[in-house]
Amino acid sequence: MWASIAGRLFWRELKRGELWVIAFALFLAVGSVVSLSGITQSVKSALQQRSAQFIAADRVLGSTQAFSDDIFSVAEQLGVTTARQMQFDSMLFAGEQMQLATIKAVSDSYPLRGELVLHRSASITEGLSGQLTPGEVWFEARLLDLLQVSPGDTVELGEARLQVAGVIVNEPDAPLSVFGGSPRVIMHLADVAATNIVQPGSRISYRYLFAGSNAALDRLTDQLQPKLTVHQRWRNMDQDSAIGSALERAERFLLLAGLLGIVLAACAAAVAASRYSQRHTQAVAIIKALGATTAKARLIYCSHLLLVVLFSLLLGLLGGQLAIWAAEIGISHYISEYRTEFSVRPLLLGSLTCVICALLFAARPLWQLAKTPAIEVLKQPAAAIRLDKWQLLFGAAAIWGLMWLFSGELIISVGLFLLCSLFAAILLGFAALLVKLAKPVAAGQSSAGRLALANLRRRLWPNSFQLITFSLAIFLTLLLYFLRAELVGQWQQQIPAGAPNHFLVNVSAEQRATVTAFTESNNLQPEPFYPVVRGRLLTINSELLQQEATKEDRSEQRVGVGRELNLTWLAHIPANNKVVSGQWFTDNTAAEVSVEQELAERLDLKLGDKLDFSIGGQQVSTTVSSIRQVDWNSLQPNFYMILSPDVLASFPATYITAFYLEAGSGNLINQLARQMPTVTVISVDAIINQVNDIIAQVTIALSFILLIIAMAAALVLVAQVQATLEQREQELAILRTLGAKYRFLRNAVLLEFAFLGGLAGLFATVLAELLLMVLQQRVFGMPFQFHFALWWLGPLIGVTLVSLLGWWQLRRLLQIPGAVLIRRVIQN
Amino acid sequence: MGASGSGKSTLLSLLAGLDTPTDGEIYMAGQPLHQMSEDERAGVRAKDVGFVFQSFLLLPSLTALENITLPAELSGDRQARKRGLALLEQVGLSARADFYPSQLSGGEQQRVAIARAFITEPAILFADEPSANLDAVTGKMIEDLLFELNDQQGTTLVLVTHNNELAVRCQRQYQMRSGSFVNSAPAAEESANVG
Repeated sequence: MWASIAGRLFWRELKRGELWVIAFALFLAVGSVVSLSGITQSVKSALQQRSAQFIAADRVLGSTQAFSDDIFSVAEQLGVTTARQMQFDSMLFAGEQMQLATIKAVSDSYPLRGELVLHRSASITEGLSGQLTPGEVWFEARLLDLLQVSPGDTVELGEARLQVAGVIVNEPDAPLSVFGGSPRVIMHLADVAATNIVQPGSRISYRYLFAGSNAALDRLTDQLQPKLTVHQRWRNMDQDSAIGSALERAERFLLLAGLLGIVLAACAAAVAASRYSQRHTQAVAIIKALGATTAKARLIYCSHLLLVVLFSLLLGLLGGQLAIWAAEIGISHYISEYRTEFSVRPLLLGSLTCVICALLFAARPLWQLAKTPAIEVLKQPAAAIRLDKWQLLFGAAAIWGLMWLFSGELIISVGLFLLCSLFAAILLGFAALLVKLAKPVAAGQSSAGRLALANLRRRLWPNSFQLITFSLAIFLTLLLYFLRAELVGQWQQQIPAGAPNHFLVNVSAEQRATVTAFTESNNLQPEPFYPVVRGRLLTINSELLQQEATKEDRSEQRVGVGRELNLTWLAHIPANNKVVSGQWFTDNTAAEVSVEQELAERLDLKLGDKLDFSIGGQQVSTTVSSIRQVDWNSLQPNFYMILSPDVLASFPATYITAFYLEAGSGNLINQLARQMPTVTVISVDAIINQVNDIIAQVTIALSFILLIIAMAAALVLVAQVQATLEQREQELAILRTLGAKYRFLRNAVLLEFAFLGGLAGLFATVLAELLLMVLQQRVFGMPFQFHFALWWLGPLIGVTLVSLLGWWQLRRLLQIPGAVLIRRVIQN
Repeated sequence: MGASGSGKSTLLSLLAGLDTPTDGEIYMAGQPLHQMSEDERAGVRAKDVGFVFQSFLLLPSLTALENITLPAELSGDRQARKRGLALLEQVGLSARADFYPSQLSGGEQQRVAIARAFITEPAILFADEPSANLDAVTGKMIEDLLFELNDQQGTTLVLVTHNNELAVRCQRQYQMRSGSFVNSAPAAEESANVG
């Protein structure tokens, strides 16, 4: 029987506002959690897939020891496909010619991701496409020239004789380093044994390539982890790339912003639930006077919340999943062969959020409602919402719980929570103080202004609560708007329009003139030529370095860089470098070196340390004179070691330069490549396009969040104003009776909300500026900038939005004729 | 009977088990109300008590008929609708069954409240100033209706009022002042009516 009463009351109550506010708030919370976490996952997976094409697999395990069949059998058992790859440097001989090359030997299944394109010709622009077969080798185009061979000729590698099949057009996991290094050769793994190159002590890098579903790969990683030796290491493409770190920032930012939007929505739900329960106090008292027990009353009213929660949950899950699908369709335009994986995690996270919000924000007022004693029937219903300290406590616990759930980090959640609490406490204090101070000011105001201030003072505590939520809402909107602009701006700055997208590497001193002539004749604006000399770091303060970490040798020797370094010499510090200690070279500098900060930390280098390099068989001594911070995200040539010009000038160097070429100028590049076959041309267009795509996607996601926050903020306002409707109705009735005109009442309402909004806007501005400062410096690693626009935009948004929304909510009430209003108040 | 603030409504709320006394004992139909919990008293009210309030106290989101059937439905009566319709007929509001309280006049609302009070056929009916919020004519009509239904159902009617005319229609009167009885007397008509 109670169910039918509950059902009837529910449908009728839907016509009133509160249940919809709760429903919409929960829908917003669920929908945004599902879509945010789902879309972030999709973008991440898209990037992983894109990165996978750059490493030719989903995951790569690197090793300095021969392949272990155990690892492959574990992978096969888990349904993960595998490929093998060996890489080593070796001399190639063709008649009288010889050349050091980087040889990559791969198994049949290579590549697992991306595409290997080979041409059976000497040109990368023409010729039949070929396939990797035993007995054949494929050359990087410039190697044909260096060895003076053509496809069909035979070359010697170790003890094996192999036929040159053609050129490598696209090698998915070719190193992205703009310096290239030795020319590259690809051969079949089956031929390696015949070369007899693999000997104990040979420097060979082995790679296990894996591809499969994320779940299988995660299981594989877990199972292999305890078996790995110091020689085996997972290689992660994302970690250091500009794209990876940009996305990491975006993800943190999205979740943080999304979370605060959810908190706002939950506040709206809490206010609406409080009002709902307050408005039903008398109904519950009547029902109980008529014989209902507390349990029955609770069933009736809590079932309302349950229905709303179920409705919002289903709709939110559906809406969120639709948004994910829409985003995935969008992503599939950017990434070929994009594989989507349905994940229940966003749906679970959304459901959990809904339950937390409903239980801790909205359930308590309804639970307490049922406790209303029957005697309340004989009392005048309270007009103002009472602030229940338990509800505040539950709400605070819920906010912290959600922060923890989303950030996944206890310390961050505690910090953020304390910050928010501090903010609330300060605001409460300020609000109380200001409203008190407003009394003497009010004496000089127009009568509408006096009424507005009187209204504010009288509802001091509810108003302070409103002030906090308005401030929070405006603050979030401002924060998001400015951070969004800054993040996107910063990302775009990394790739300014016209940034070099083609790098020329291995340019010899003589070829510089040809390159200059080429760029001039085509109206290109080249970067300066950077000289590059390859060398190995031998000793630090005369202490010999261990070149690679090995298990057997646990001496106290410092571990070196482990590979040849690209050394350059420059008189002036590059634009995106900053000296953090020591001094940049002067004119009198002799034999000095400037070291990149992270490498300096890794090698434990200090100013004044003596570094010896081996360059072209000669030993060169230098002193560390400065440590530099390098922006690795910039698409500029960056160097770990920059030597003073006097050291390297006498060594033969190759040069590197770069220029911007508009899309569709591929012919020019081919022309240049034909002219100078030994020069390597590297196009970074693909990377730049990818970053631009991500920026576009993240911008859309940010706008989406901005919309969620704006809606949640408006919802809080609607809930808050609704909560005061009855009280306002009574007051208006009295004022109307006393002869107040519509204009006067409207002005008073506008002024009241304008004051509240302006104050909230000001608080929000101060807070946004402070947090922007912290976020910029600590989280996003940007320099601090003062935001002048914030200081007028914040209060303006506050005044305009809050007064318009307040007036819009109350306009109908203001327009009701006095007589009708009075009758309504008496009836209630 | 008594003036405003004399303690009439407090007494009524204690008698009906809406409130508990700080001191003393109250028994209704032999049950110690003062020893019962809120929920146990609710059980007693559901079974034995009906109410008519000065300010009607209808649930605004239920129709006239639904307001009337509410107490019966709360105690699980499957005949609630049938009985509700019959009572609606008796109070002359058959045509208003689907109207909401806001669509009814004050007199109509109080008639709905009276019908609601009788639907569980209570042993005792408590009425708190049932006609105080109505104009004289409507008030009189409501009083007539209350006494008429009371006669029909043989209910004990406990009526609180400051209106002398209404008080004299009761079989027994108690005068209150400052929370105490100052006088109790059978009404003039009592002897005439009894028998």
